[in-house]
Amino acid sequence: MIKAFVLLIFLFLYAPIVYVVASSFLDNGELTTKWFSKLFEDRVVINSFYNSLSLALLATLFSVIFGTLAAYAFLRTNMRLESLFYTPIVIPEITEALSLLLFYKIVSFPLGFYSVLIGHIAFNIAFVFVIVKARLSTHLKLVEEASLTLGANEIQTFFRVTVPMAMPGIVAGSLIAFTLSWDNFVKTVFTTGPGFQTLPLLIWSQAARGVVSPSLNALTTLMLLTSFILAYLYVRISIRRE
Amino acid sequence: MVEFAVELDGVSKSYSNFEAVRDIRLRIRKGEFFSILGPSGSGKTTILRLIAGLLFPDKGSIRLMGEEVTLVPPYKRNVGMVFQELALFPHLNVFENVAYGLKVRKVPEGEIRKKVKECLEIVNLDPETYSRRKINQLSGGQQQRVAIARALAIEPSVLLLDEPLGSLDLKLRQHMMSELKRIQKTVKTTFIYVTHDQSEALIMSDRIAVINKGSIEQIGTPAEIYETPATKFVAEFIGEMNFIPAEVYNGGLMSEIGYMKVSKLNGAKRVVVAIRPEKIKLGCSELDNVYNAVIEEVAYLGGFLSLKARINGICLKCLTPSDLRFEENQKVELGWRADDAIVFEA
Amino acid sequence: MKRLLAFPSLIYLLVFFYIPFLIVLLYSLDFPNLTLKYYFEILDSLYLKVFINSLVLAVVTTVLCLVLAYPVAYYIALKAGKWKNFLLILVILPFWISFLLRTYAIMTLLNPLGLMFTFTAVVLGMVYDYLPFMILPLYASLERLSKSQIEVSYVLGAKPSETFLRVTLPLSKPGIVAGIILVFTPALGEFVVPVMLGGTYATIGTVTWDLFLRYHNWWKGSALSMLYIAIVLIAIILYIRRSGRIEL
Repeated sequence: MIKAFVLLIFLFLYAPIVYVVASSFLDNGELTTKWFSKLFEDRVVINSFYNSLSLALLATLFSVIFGTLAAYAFLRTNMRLESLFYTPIVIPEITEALSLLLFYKIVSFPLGFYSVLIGHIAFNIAFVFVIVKARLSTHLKLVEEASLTLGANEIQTFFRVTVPMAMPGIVAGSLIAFTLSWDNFVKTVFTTGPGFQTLPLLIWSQAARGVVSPSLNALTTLMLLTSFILAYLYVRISIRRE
Repeated sequence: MVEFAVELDGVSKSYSNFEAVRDIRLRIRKGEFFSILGPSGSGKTTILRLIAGLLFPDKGSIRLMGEEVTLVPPYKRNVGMVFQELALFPHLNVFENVAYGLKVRKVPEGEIRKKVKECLEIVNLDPETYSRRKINQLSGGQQQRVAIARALAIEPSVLLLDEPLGSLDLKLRQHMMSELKRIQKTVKTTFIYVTHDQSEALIMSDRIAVINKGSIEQIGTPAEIYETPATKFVAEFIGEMNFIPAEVYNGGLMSEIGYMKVSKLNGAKRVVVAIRPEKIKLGCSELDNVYNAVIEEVAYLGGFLSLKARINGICLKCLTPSDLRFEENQKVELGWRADDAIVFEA
Repeated sequence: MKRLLAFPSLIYLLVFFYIPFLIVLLYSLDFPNLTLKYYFEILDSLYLKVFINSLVLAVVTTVLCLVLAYPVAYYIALKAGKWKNFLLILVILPFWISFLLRTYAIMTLLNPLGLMFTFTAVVLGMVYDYLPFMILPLYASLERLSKSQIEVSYVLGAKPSETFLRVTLPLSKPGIVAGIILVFTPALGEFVVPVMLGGTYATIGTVTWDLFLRYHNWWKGSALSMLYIAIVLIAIILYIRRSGRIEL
């Protein structure tokens, strides 16, 4: 009985996703890719895609650098300041988004690509910090010391031991940071300005009025696909680590 | 030709709020298997890390093979270290782990291969089978061997071992003890072995330093440490010991169990007398000290009986061959020779 | 030395997270006058309706999630056998997809069913989005419960139902509490789902959105979101008090 129930729940969780993906390939019951080719002809879609991608890549790059350095700094030194990294994860996203909007208004920062990017980085730093820190082996300091006793100086140790050992965490952190930025909606919508639109904003602008359309299905399918690929990579590296 | 591999002179090290080691003076001979034995938190690992250069002393000086190294960084000291947690490189395989120290020394590839093979053979790991293995594919005992091989590969002037057997089960630990001894005999390097386990230290060491609260209590061979402990702490920490509080009286000692003859007094008025359980003889009246006791507990240990015998308010542990038979509540005479009792200040 | 590496991040968060947050607080207090008038304004009957709306939605969502998630978590943790990892991945996968996309996905299903713009639609969407957030902590706490604890209960003579009530349920309490917090607090402020599926169903989230992006009434909007934050923080503090730590 419980088996049937569990099956039903998973059906509930995945039916809509399967339905969107399926209908993005269907036109009156016939298989087609025309919704996708339509997407690739649409200037607005291409432009938004480009915006989303550059936003996610840059946000990932900066947050990974900042967050990783911080995680390394806080390893084994339990400074009280560490809790500052957890607040952005706990605070509801909408509050963070509107506070950034107010901040930009006060300092008269122009709303657009950079205002969105800055917000994404702030949020991602916290996630990268937590993930990298959790995956930095608690043995890291010891292993670094072992390297020193074997004759490698600090710089050799950093590149031969610290970086390779931190790599799984850095990769995992990058994947999560990219995903968080790639399909982020709430922070983007609050901090964007005229002329800067991402794919989630595009979907929202049409779907918020309850409009479902085949090309929107195709776009959603593409975004889901990206998320699935990232999740798959994440699982792969997590498993290899164990 | 220098006689000592490691010399510590008046070395002290404090952390922010407590003194980890105080005024340590140690001379460790070349080729010696030397153990530093003490309870956890006694400062023994600090001493090891000072020798390795992972910590620098606040006071005092350290010499390695006669050379002053007090403030030399670890990577210029050429000491091998086997960490308690092993600290193997998880991103490298067995071969790369052992070769690491040679690679950073820019040793030619061919020589590295030869040396790694040699070191793996010393620790009884077949190079053919294990070179390409990942660290997490090895058992605890095998990881131990890789850690030792990695430290030996750089031909260290001393090999420091920080409780390396702590995480192994009893059987493997006993096996690794004899392995370590064999490896030390093969490579003839000075081994400095830190442990809190007295049996490890007694079995393997040429000499032992017993350390407590950051200070050395006694340095000596295992037999010296066991038979003539220099302090009450050493007497209590190594092996089983009975303690009887007493006061000087009439050239001997008076205690709750009665008058005791001892061979030596230390000048103090209130003292503690220490007697090993195996030195107490039962059913024998021709000894310097003889008392009437009641057996309270009998435990059969195979070749031996472990007994608890009460004399007035004092309960003494005794160890006696099991060919003698005793029962609970049995009245016996027990005693010991004056020479076997050691007197400490109370 | 090493600690300096934390400074770029800390300064970044200070400037772009903590200072903006402080600004919201000041706006809500009508800075520089420092009055509570905006808080009083949002306590009138119109906003009270919004609060009740949000509360009803969050409670219904949380209860439904808990009821639906518990058997799933129980099954994955204790009964799934070789399927365990696969099912776990199926639970975690939705975490990688934003609410917007998933809400859109369920919208495509609700549309042909004629359920759009109803309370049912909103609840369905909420449960759909938040269910994984409930399953995961429940799973984590049930997973920690060892089979032998349950077997001991059987050996001591407890029937399966008694064992569940006396052993399994109490031991999974940390997971239940974590799940409730993870679902209830964000659900209270949710606005993607009500807007997309509910049309005019006003919640704290949709009103905050309107105040900020439509009416530019930052003072009132700030007061509203500070109230929301206060509720979230109280929930979290209560949880930490009870369990001594945060675990997901």
